[in-house]
Amino acid sequence: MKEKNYLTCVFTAVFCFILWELLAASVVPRDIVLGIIVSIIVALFSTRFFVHNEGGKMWNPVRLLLMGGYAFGKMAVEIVKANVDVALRVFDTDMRLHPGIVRIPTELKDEYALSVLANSITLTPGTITMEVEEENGKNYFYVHWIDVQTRDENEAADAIKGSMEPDVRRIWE
Amino acid sequence: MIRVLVDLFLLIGAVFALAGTVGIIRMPDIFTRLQASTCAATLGTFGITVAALIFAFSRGMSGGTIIKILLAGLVVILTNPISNHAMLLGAYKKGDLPETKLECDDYEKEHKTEEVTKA
Repeated sequence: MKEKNYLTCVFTAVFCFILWELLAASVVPRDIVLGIIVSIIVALFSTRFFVHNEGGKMWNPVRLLLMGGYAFGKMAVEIVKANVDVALRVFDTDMRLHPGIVRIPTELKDEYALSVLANSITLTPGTITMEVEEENGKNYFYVHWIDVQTRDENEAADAIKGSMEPDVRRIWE
Repeated sequence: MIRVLVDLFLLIGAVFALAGTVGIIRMPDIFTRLQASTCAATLGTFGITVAALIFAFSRGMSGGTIIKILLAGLVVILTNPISNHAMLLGAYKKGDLPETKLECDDYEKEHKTEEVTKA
């Protein structure tokens, strides 16, 4: 656990430094040293909030490319569809609201996959993930859903994350 | 021609930002308001970022400007789900229950025992 934490910390610091360089875009020694110091401080403070298993998993270039494809492909389609739906609701006279919190099961086990899927669900207008919980070795999402169409766990899971889950699993597990 | 493209993307961004804002005003409680605000944060930001990128390319602006535009869009889109999740859970745990009745509340069902022992 200790060693993994250390690795995550290093990766966070490197990522922070890259961001710093992109924004500052200067190679003056003073700026670089300042960037390194700030990156290390930020990494030390923030590492404990991050995913802990396999610190370097995110930096596999193949995974990042597939992730980009997923973000601009399937997820973008879902987001546009949901956006149009919510926008139409907003401008409707009665907003057809049926809000509710549903529990949906997921097959994913890996922490990275779980957080990517949870964030994908939240990024889609109309659904927000409240919490991820483990129960009997299976993970469940609690999702606030603006338009509850069904009370059945599996049908709800299909409607909320049906097309996104297989892709996330292929990329991150 | 490029001007038309820029305007088109600006229009898309503006329409969804408007939808998000009107949603925040019209929706009855914090839960549904957060849902509407996602509209402005996703397609609203996306449209305006793409418009800015096309404009920057067509005017031949420096690489630094383009990278900054990209980063601004990415950061807004990537951090939105985290803050949304935190605000929703915080509001729920504080007991800010919605005015419109929830159709169903699985979270409460599962966590009722905890609440009882805490009280």
